[in-house]
Amino acid sequence: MKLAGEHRFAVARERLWAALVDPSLLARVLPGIESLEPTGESSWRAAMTFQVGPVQGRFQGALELSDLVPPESYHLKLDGSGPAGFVRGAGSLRLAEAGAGTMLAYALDAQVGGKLASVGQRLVESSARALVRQGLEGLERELAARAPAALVPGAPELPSAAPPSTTAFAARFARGLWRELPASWRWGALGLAAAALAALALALRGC
Amino acid sequence: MTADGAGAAGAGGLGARYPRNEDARLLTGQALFLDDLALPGMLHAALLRSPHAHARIRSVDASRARALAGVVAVVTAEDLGAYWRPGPLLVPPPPVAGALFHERTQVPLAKGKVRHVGEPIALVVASSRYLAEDALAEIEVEFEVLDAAVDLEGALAAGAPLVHDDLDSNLAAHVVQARGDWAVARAAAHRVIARRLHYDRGTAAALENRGVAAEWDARAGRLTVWDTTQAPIPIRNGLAAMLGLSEHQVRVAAPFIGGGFGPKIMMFYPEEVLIPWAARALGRPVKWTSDRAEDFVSTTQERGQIHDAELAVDREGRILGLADRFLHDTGAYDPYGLTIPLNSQANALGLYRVPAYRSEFRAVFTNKPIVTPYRGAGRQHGTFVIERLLDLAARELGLDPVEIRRRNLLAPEDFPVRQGIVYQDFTELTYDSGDYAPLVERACELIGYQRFLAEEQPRRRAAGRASGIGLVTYVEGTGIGPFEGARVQVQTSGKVTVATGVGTQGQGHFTAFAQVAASALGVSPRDVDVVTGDTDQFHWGSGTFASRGAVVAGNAVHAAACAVAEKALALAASALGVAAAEVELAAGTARVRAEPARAIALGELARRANPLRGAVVPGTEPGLEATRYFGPERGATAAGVHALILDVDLESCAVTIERLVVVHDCGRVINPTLVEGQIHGGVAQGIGNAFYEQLVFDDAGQLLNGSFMDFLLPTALDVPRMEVDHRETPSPLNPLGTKGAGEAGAIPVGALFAQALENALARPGLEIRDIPLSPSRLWELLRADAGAT
Repeated sequence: MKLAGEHRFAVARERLWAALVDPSLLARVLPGIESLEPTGESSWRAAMTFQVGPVQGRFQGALELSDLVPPESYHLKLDGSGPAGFVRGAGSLRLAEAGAGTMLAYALDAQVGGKLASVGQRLVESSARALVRQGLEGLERELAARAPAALVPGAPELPSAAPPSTTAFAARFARGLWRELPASWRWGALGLAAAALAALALALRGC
Repeated sequence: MTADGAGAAGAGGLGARYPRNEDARLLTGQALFLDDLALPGMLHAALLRSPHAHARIRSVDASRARALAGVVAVVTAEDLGAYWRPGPLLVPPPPVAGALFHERTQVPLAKGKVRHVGEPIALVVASSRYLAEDALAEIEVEFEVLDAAVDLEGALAAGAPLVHDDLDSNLAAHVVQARGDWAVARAAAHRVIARRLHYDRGTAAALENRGVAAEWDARAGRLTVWDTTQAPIPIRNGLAAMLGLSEHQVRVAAPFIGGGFGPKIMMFYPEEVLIPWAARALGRPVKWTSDRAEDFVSTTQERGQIHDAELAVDREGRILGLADRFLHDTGAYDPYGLTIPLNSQANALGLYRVPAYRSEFRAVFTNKPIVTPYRGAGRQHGTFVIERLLDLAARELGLDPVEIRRRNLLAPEDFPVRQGIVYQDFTELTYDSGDYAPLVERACELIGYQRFLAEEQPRRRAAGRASGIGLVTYVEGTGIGPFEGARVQVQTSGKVTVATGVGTQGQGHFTAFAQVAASALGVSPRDVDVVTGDTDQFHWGSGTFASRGAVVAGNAVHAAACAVAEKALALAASALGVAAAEVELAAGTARVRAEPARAIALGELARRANPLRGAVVPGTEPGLEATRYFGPERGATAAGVHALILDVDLESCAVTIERLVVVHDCGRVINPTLVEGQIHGGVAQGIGNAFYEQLVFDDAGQLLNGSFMDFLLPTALDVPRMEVDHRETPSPLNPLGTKGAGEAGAIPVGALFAQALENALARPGLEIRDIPLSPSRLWELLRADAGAT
């Protein structure tokens, strides 16, 4: 399986490099990573869960970076296995300046085996691409969230991911509903609501 | 009723379409299948299987797995101690001069190295299958992954990764068989058709996956093993020897089995060796059943071969000679010897006169699951070679494909035909009986061959439809030895019991054998109880394989039943005061032929034959019981013709079968419904093999389509209603005159599809030389042909 592509980041090359040689940032953005501990200067041991169609499971793996040429490129090797199969691969990352941002080019060659291959075959490549995309997009968000001043001016504001409180939601819902109802219905709807509440209050008092 | 078994077909005797005895139990869920077993205190097993096709095992750490709650044991190769050893060689190499064979058999658990994806590394026994599989995830194995030998030619090339390090190449065997003078034939030929033909792997995909359960009763000193095997008796004998028990201490019973098709005659699967050992070591019953994903990589497979073949013909299309050089994929081990390639060598001769023949094969070890016989067992390949070459010769000479076959068919006066090569039963391949021209004519008649070519096809072509017809022949060596046995006994109730050693996987033995016994004893087949596949009931024999059940076990049942009939007649004669020749067996009684009212019930005779007190004539055997064996001197030759009309959608390359005709000769038919069942199933598997089923491995030996999402099986939409016609040329090799029919349906379908598709597409440059096909493969062929013109 060969994965290759490019992604444009709106951060300077040095900052992106720093994020890419420290996988703890990536570990935060990739779904399914359970643990990541360094085993050397540029090597790590990781545990993650991964799903490809009907095949899912925990994988234990090793990741090793080599031939580092900051802030341009490095090679990487990964070796992960679990009850659902194994993934072994090698690849490289290349960073090039692109205006005020950076163009990241990646290339990875991976072998897949075990149940991942025999049952998940048709979905392995698309799942891997999705994982890479999630990682890169997540990385981009993380970098933007950490130091907004470093953002290139004119970049779109990212929406907050915090859910609204219950009262805020109810208020917004009622406002929206009010706006949707045709004018002639509004007072009728209000009246119905009032009547329903009164009936409920009576019933509650009665028991 | 005479003692030679001739009975009225209408009464359920031989030749009657008797409804099956076993169906009521099967259809109401009363039949025992292996997974139904629930024994007190039973534990469940799961196996850790290799995810790599070829790797060294550096270490196995099962400590975390052993510590899990509910896990009773985790066993690796080291834990087996002296019990660990490679399995027995089931079929020795053939007695062919100059044959080379390297025996390398499978092991119960991998030690040092794994050689195919799915090879077992550890056994876990736990209180439930779920816990056992959780424990599998906790076993850490450190692998040193090696390059894999996957494709046949690559595996034989210099520098290829060695599947077995102690050999200097992946060559597992080399056999050359020849008769007549091929070089002379080739030189004298008007045309030599030379082609490379490919056949690829598939799996039997039986409805029921394999399973083994075992229970050791220490107080009784008895081991009971339930196994979805086609050969309970050899399993019993082997297990007893391995475990240091006497054969009578071990009982192996094959319950109802949901399809065998050949891979279940493979012995000894690692699970068959491990589960009984575990039951004994742990002192508790242990059960293992396979799930489908496991089955794809652990049950044996078949079919990979590459043939480079040449056919030499004269001006009239008559065969002067055939030469075939082929590679046979035997997988990581070769426990089943050379049965499959020997069958391929035999079947390439087909139903034809082949004056000169040279066939050479090399069996190759690869890092893929083991190859053992699967319905057809190599006959497909030989048939594909000869039928394809005849088709291509016909094209070159401007002959009709059926006409070129007519000119080469063996004639009745040629029999018995001694073929001069060694067959899978190590005797000289000999066709015992047959009459082939009528089979071809009948098939042509049924499918309307001439009319289709002259009228139908032109009409359809004018309407833009790609519709084609095909007709191929096949030969099937059946009913080989060594022998089977049967014991027939009349109970005091009047019911008859039959016990035989072969197992049953749906063929209808409970009915066929009942009919054989019933016709000899004058009872109804409903009153005959048949027991198969239980070593406690019968313990001599080799198993159900190679289309031999009806022939070999059937004839043993016949012999035993006739012996019982003689005893009954003698006893009745003395009881009725007449000569034995005046007595007949009918309607469950022995009666005087001239005065049917003077009769004694069979059950009463059985009672009298087993007195509790008194004296008997010395030398008398008690009861109405007899045990007899049948071992034929060689196999009986069945044959047949398949014809097909199909439609190809030129855009989607989907194929629709419009009509399928089978005319076959399996000698004397015991029950036409059972034979038709065998043919329907065989053809369905043949259709799957021809157009849908293919196991795909990548360069690293990984199986890429190990589930039914991606391994296609033909469905009810793909298998047509077939028209089946029977011819009978009784075999002179056994008293019943039967021949086998189990594999017939599956053998020629690949060749049939190829011919019919070429006929439908009618492109001179388009040749079909590979099986299986598929819509995408067809599309590629069409595109290549369009590009070339």
